Amino acid sequence: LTNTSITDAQEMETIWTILPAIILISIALPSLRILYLTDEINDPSFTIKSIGHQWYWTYEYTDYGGLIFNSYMLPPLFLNPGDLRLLEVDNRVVLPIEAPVRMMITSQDVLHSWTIPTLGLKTDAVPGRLNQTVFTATRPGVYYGQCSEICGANHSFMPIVAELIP
Amino acid sequence: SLRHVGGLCRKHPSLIPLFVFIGTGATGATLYLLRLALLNPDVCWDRNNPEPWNKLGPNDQYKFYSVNVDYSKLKKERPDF
Repeated sequence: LTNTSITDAQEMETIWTILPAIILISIALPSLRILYLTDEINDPSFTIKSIGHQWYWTYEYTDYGGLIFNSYMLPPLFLNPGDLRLLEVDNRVVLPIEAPVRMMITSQDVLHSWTIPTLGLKTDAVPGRLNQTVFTATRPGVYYGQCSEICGANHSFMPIVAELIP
Repeated sequence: SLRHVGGLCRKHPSLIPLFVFIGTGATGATLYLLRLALLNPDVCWDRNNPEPWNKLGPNDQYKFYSVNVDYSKLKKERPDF
């Protein structure tokens, strides 16, 4: 195991530097392209504003008229049998499936975060800033999420419920 | 130390691609960071102008790379005020 024949392998070292670098670059460039593609807006059908407060959400459907309502969590005493504790709200966000929906998310007071994990959505609600997320749901149903940025005493008690109807 | 690196490369030429790739990566990362610091509309350096985002043009592109959307050709859909 003396090293008489295994030193100075310049050609092999050059190859095993350049070849993996080429492979990694050829993986990275299409991947970055996809990353920028996911950021593009695919012509949404309509726009809904979601405003976070301490400790509830306000939804504004202002494209075709002015529908504005608050969405508070249902206290446990008000739940019906079969409802989910700490997840149900009084007024759900009703949306159609198979239509690109643009959500403009902001906050009235402190940081919140509008999340629906099963739809792959999480966008921070920052006061003084308007964040945008676009999604297209494909299956009808009721989708739950919870506020995902610590916002005070009732941070765990301001859920988000999206009801997607065909 | 650059001379030292040159000496190393002469003795072991297989190190050259290593320095090239690492150097390109580090330079690229630094340049992108500088681009973000200077051109990102969320970053503000001027104390006397606290709201530079009000000056953004509707046809400017601020992304590094835009795949499908051509910002200079976007039509204006809303009225002036």
